[in-house]
Amino acid sequence: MTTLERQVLNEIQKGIPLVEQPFLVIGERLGISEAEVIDTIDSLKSKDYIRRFGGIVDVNKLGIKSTLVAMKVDENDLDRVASIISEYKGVTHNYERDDAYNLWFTLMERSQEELEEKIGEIKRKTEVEEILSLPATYKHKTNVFFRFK
Amino acid sequence: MIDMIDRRILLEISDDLNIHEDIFGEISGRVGISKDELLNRLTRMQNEGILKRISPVIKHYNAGYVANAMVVWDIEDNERQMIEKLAKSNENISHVYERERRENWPYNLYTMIHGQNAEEVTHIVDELSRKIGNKAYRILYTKKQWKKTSPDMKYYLSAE
Repeated sequence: MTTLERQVLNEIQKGIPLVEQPFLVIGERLGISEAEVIDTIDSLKSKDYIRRFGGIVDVNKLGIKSTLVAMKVDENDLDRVASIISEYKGVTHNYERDDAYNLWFTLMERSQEELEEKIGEIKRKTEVEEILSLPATYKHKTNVFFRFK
Repeated sequence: MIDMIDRRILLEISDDLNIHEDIFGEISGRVGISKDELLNRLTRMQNEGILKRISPVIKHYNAGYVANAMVVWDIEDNERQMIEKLAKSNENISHVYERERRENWPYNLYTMIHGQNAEEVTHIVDELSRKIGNKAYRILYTKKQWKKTSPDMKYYLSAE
């Protein structure tokens, strides 16, 4: 990553200003032109540092219910189980972790009923017996920020 | 609360946006409202906490953050404020959630910690542990990302 790419990435991660020319404002903060900001973002995208550039929405504020689910899956069965889970539209994160509870996924649905229905369905389809649903009771911090030095 | 126009806006900005000088002009054109109205609505939704921000979602693994762990803690009530304060001031900690304990899983606090290597992560955990005087934690490193995506707004916001 070039110095300019690092500077732009640190700045735009906080969110672009909601004004007529947001990249002009970003450029002013960094002492570069609007075009340089845009070119740098294009370059960051082409180098595959950016998954998506867009709105980050707090879906819970729209009434969506979510939970974190942990599963103990037999090592030899992990491919099959993980693939079943990833197919669900309400699953945004599905990670293998180095623990006895080795598969962790987030599930978001439009209602509590739908959420529980989907968990039941996943239990039946995967035939995994040890499964914990761990809905959040309090959020202290949700702020993804990677500082590039 | 959001109306139909807000829904259309949220659907539009949930895509990967084209980056150019008139980014908001393009979006307002697609929604069929003026740019002023779009900016007013975005600002309102941001104030209401519905829209956190418009920003890139970083592929942090590609960008050098290769050690990522969920660290779970069994904390006492009197440690909550301390944890909150420490986590908020640490840029390497992205998420701090409380969740209920379970019979075989005594952890009630979840922290997502990102580092450029495993030492950086363990250093952060050690420091947190020392400051709050709590050693009841467990580090679960990411082994494989089977799926990582943003919420599919079409799935949630389509007509009921």
